[in-house]
Amino acid sequence: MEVDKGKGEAEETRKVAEADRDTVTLKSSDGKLFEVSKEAAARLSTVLAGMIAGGSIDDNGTDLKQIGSEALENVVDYCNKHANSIPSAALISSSISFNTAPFKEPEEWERKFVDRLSHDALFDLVEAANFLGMERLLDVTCHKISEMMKGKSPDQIREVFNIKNDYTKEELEEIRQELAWAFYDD
Amino acid sequence: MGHLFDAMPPKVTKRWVPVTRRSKRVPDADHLSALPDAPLLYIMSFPKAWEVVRTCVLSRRWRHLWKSVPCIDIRLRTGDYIDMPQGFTDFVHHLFCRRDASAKLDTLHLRSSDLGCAHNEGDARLWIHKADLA
Repeated sequence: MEVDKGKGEAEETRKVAEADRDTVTLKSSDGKLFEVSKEAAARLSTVLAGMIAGGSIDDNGTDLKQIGSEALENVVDYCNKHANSIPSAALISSSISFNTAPFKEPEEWERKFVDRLSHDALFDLVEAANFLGMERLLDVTCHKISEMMKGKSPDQIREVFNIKNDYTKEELEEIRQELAWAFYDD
Repeated sequence: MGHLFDAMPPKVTKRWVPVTRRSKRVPDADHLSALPDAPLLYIMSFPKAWEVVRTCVLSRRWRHLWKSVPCIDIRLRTGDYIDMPQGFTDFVHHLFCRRDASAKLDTLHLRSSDLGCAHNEGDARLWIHKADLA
């Protein structure tokens, strides 16, 4: 059936078909391809929204050289889950007035989504969300990190996050005196 | 890196300067301290105020961060009794005095105390007033 069709015409047909697709293909720094709903990508990421609107999406995979495959897989997973969940009133209002609105608690599925991430994967996702301008995903990942700090002593926080104490003994003593009002009386 | 925070107006709390991406994963790396100030301050907006101030002893990176946190949570619950600083009203007073005066404070979480004498209505009025001026 297609025998008479010239190569250029076939190419043209393919391009039109790609433009009509409801997904976009993203390529990680290590060359892996991921498909994500165009609608969800545009709604959740200011950077992808700009690329889609500006026509700079590559049908063979838009290069995201700053994001590794594991983080990109999580980004795509988040977008797809978000596309499938019914947004609550809280989420809608937070996306409209992000700059001034107080933080809206993560939805149950968002909580589960970040809870299953390893320590490294969580921080990689913070970077990816920041790079892609995904404010809700940033909120949710940063909130998770804060929960890992809550209720812990400085020593416990150092242990959880591998923070190296680079104070001298004298400096630490000086700080403890200066801020004695914030500590218990030892 | 850094589209989201860079794109925002300067008065906004959650700004983020560009990040140099970790090129290789270092085992036991301190990813948290490596974050720029803006997301770190955002992360520090959630714990209780006294926990936030105490982060100053973690390392040099953390020494002054607490002074610029945009959200202060001084709500007391019964369970906080073991952890909160002695002389709670003094603590809050010091907190407001020592904060970075140029850092924007956008939220103060306050509630009437479960703990009898921890603070009274006069204290609360004063703190709301101070928060407004900060």
